[in-house]
Amino acid sequence: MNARSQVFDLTMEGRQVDEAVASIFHTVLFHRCLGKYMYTGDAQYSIGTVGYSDVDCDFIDFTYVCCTSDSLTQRVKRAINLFSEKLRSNESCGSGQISLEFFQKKKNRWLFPQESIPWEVWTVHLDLIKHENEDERQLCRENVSDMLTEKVIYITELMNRHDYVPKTPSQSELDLIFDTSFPDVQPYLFKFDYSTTGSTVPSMGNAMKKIIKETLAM
Amino acid sequence: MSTQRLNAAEKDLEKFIKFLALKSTQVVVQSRLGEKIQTQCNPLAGNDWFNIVVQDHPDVLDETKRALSLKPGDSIMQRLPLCIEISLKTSEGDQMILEVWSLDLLPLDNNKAGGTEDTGNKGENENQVLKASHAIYNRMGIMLKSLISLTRTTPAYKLSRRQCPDSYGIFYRIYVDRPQVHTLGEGHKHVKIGQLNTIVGSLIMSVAYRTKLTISPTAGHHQATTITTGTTTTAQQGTIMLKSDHFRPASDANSPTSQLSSFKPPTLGGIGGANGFEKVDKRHIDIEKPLRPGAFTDLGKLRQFTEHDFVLPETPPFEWLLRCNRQDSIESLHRKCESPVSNNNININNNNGSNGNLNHNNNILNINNNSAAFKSFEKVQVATSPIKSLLIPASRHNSAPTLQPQQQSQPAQQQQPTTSSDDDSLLKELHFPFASPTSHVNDLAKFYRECYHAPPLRGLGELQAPSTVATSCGASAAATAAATASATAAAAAAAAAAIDGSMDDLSRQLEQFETSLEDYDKLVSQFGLSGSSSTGSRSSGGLQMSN
Repeated sequence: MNARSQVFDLTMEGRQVDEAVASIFHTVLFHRCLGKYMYTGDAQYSIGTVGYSDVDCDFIDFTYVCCTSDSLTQRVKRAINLFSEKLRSNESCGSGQISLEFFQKKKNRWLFPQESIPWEVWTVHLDLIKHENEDERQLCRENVSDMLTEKVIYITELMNRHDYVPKTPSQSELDLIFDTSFPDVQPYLFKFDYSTTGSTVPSMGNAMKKIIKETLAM
Repeated sequence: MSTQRLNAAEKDLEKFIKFLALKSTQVVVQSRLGEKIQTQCNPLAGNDWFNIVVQDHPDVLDETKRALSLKPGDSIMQRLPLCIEISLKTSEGDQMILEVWSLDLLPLDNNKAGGTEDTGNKGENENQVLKASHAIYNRMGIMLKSLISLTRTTPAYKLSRRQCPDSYGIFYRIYVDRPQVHTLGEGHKHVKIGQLNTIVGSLIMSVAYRTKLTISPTAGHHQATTITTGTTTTAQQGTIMLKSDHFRPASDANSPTSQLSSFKPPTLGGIGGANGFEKVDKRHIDIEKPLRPGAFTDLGKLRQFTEHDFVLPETPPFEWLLRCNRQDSIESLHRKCESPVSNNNININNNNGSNGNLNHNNNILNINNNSAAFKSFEKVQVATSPIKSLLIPASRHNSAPTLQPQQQSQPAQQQQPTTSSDDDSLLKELHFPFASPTSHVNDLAKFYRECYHAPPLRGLGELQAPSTVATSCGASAAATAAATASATAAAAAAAAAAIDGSMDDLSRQLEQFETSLEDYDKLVSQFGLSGSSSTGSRSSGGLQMSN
């Protein structure tokens, strides 16, 4: 199965990275989050509701929407933070990428570890720039916010296409599709991946590599 | 049987669409209230439509229902191009349509419908129809989420967050019609939020928004900061001017509710020029800003202060020492009202013959610098009869002016008594309650007194002398009466008619003073030393004055 892959190229200042990436990923995750499933029988369940919050950016003139879930926000923030610190560190060459990958698991088979199959990957490729003066910075601040507006419009456009999304399974297999670890929301299984070496290997490849490595390690 | 099922599915769809419309208006209007929105997840009870927590604002709900005007039997599908128009209105009354969000249902030809709909919908059995409606429900949920996300990205969102009653407010209008995009000006953008193909048609949610919002009326250097939205870069345009790079005023948090209720039809195409905002700019920057008070200043106090500030610097310190007597204003007359009274006591006492002592007493009273002087002053006042009676003799020689005290015009009196009465006021002004006895100001006061003060009259027994004093009293009496109450004036007038009676009164008072003469002597003896020299100088001055 081929995963859908979207790549966003952004250029901005180092301090804007966290918020820019967060605004894109949270917009995606907001669409990919469902209410918690509460099973009353194996086939019957009720779905909780998802609240949303406006988040104002500090370094970009932008506001995005995310699910009102502290645990989800924390997890996204931590992942982005790791990436952005690496990206902004002295060893970095000033470019890198971070991806949000939705995947589903396949049931364990004898001898093989659990297999993760990504079905949608959102990648943000970042190039850092430095501004000479405050005018440039102000201009860039507006540019970045315009860029993000475009991206959000694009994301919503994609979300409303009738593309593949894993079907809701029975209760026993819920964990293979959804991340049930959050107390308030139930997103599809997702993970973050990042690299700051400037490599553009799609995360699909990374995932495959990882699987092969893990298999060999066995 | 199959038509029945189809009807049931349609009923479901109709319901979904109706609630999608209701929730959409809520989402759009609430996003323009100017405040951040946060709704809480509810993992347990899923009562909210499309599993998204969207609070219902009653006004918006009413407004939507009014626009749809659905009667019980009506289907929402016939009413559908539902639009939410967001507009901006400045405090000057200029209006500009910012964006139009719309939910439309387009008819779908059958073969296309089969092709684009969810795969589960191809068959005809009951399960699949149910599944389809479920899928539609989920899709609508995603559409609503997209709507929530997109409402934060259009330029109107930023404007709505910065709205405040002083500059502009954001308004909404819900109507059922084709979206009026021609009001959005040139180069407006159109974004399709989502399309959902159903058995009843293709449900399309979209937004059209204005991209040309100009910041500032002056064309030149502001061109670089023109707001550009999305991909379009806009040139200077004759549309309304908006400031974009201003911090959000703090007061706008409480405005949205009022904005919500105020619902105005737009003036189509009639978008005013830049004047409104130019004016606002001028008012804020050119005039008010320099005068703007600090954070916690009491505005009323500040204004008072500035007015006084304008008046005060015009008179240099001690300028009043140079003031010409004839230029005495009403104000200064008023000021005199208090001082002559105390002086009158003493002058009248002087009539009784004890020149030197009382002179001295007068001096002390006027210095009024230390507590002892104050005490003595009080004593004198206590000892004498009320002020009213003291004023009576004034009418004796100058009855005309006293009879008309309210007019406060006393040209006749100016020749004789002005010097003394003015001195009184000056002396009053020369009281420096907080000056130390050795300070220079004190010396100045003393010097002034010694040079100018009307001396006690030598020939107290003579008729002339008391008359002068009395006239001065009269002048002061007039002023006092004008300042305080007409009752005093009436009494004075009445007394003026009966001269003899007043003479009796006077003599009675003199007697009273005489009886308390010992007290005064004692007082004077307490201050004893420097009396004689000052008396001498003053008496010479006094001769000059009385002549």
